Amino acid sequence: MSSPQLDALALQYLEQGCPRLPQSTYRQTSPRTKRYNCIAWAAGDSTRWWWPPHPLVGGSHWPDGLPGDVTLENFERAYETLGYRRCHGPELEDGLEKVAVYALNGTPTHAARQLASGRWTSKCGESFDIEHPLAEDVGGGVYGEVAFYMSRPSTSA
Amino acid sequence: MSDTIDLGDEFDADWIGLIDEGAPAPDAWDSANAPGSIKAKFGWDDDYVERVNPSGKGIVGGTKSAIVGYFQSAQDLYAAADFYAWGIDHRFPRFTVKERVGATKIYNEKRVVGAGVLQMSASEVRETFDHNRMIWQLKCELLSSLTEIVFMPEYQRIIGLGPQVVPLIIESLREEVDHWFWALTSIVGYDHGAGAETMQEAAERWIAWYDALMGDE
Repeated sequence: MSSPQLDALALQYLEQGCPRLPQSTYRQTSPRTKRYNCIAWAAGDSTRWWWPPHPLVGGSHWPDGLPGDVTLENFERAYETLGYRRCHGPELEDGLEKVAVYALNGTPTHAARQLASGRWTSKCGESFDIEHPLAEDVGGGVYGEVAFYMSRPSTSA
Repeated sequence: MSDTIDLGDEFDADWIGLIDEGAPAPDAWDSANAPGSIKAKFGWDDDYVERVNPSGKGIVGGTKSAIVGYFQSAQDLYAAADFYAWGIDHRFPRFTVKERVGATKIYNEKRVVGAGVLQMSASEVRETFDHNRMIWQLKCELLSSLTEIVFMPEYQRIIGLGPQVVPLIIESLREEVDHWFWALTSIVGYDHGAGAETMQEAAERWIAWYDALMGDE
């Protein structure tokens, strides 16, 4: 359950875990929730927790046919099932929507999605959704850095 | 001069009370053999480190391959005791009491650690659950990795509470969906949320299983 004290603590954790955020013009865009995570949110799904399956964990979703490895390759393949392909960078391009996949020491940690405005949206673990100006704004801490960007033809009008 | 009373393999039932979670870290301890302090040895024969805790609380020790170090709880000692023998010198102004215990005896001797851990009351289970849940949730705040989430020590500690904690987990699931499915499956021995595509769905399946078991449905 959410409470002002927990929210304040969560915000503190967020800014400690993502040390570039306080210097950016980020803003919180949702309450805290554990129903979905960053990987799902970047994929446009706010109902499930996306993570490679583990036989004992349960309750998570991963595209059919993909393995349970927590590797960048597996995450790339997951977004490929949605039509994304690797692209060269984060800049806003007409007709394309993008996701950024982050890694710490080579292990996937986080994903963000670019909005039509060119800003980025992230769901931070079990915490808030936030909107931040640059993909790099959530890097430099617990999520490591952007490992690669992917894009697909825009699905919104 | 000090006399020595060697208890051999016999336990002093009071020794468990010497462990105090609030004791200072080993490095802060005075190495002098102060009267009333506890001197702890850990390991086989000469291969040990010994420290003195002048507060009379807590013990510490280390061995060649794994510094077991400062025990924060009886549970730590229990885990460590699987591998090592240990000893404690209780130093008093006029004599010293030595305890020397073999690993197998510690491991098998329920009354030692069992006094504090294996025979927890319902209120102690709840207190331990609440405490570990709070820390676990805070530590997982920014994480998406399910394995990182369930391998947190606090989560493992909750699993270690065993069947007594299942009603508390279910109660927690009713309040808020969370990653309790690994814990429940580990304790119960069967995944009643198997096949669920969402956490909410998995939670509902576990709650339904529990309610059916309790006769509420």
